[in-house]
Amino acid sequence: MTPRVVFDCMVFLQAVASPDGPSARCVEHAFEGRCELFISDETIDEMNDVLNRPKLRKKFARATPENVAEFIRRVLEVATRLGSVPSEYILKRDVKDSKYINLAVAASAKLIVSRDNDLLDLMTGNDDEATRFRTTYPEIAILDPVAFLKTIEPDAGGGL
Amino acid sequence: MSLTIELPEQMERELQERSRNEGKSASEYIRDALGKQFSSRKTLDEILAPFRLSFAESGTTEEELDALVEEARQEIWLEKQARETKA
Repeated sequence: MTPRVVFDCMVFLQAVASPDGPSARCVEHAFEGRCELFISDETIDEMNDVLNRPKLRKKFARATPENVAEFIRRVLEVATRLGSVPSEYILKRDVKDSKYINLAVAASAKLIVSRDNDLLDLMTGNDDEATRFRTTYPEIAILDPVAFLKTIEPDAGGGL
Repeated sequence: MSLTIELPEQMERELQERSRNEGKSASEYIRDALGKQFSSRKTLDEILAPFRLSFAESGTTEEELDALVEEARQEIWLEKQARETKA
């Protein structure tokens, strides 16, 4: 069964910036249908806003707004869009990251791929918030791109 | 627009042969080939090429990009909160 996944904004941005890193491979897997990528209005809007932010536009000076629009269009083609997702969970340590957890819950996705320590620490932290997360959503795993690749690429030592 | 390009001998021979086989002039053959190339769907790598070239030229590290993205996300979040409070 194809795993359902949610990628955070940093994973997408790293994939946009570099073809060689693990984030690019994660996005390629989604584009090739090896995992089922889910997005919400909130997550796709955020990615679009970040890519069009002046400081990011400056970093990607050769890319035009049309290039950004084309990338977003292509993501929308391959991903399943859930639209507006209920705010069931609030991540107190960084409220703006809650959207990824809420999207995973709404999509019944068991994997969130992230480079964000506030999210990744939920898997290993001993504080109340991390413990509560793991108790409430025992089926959801938050992995960094390298760990995700190990689950999806059998040759890399994993396999779902 | 008219354009003059230098072709290696082998490529020139192949162009002459292929265009003759299709009953076209060399110019028509090249024009058609370019038309097909331009109308084909871009790959993900082609779409992302301008981003990746800029990023490589900038010398920015992965960690610096993460920090920049997080900063932008925070700004966007605060602006959104301000708009919602105002509304």
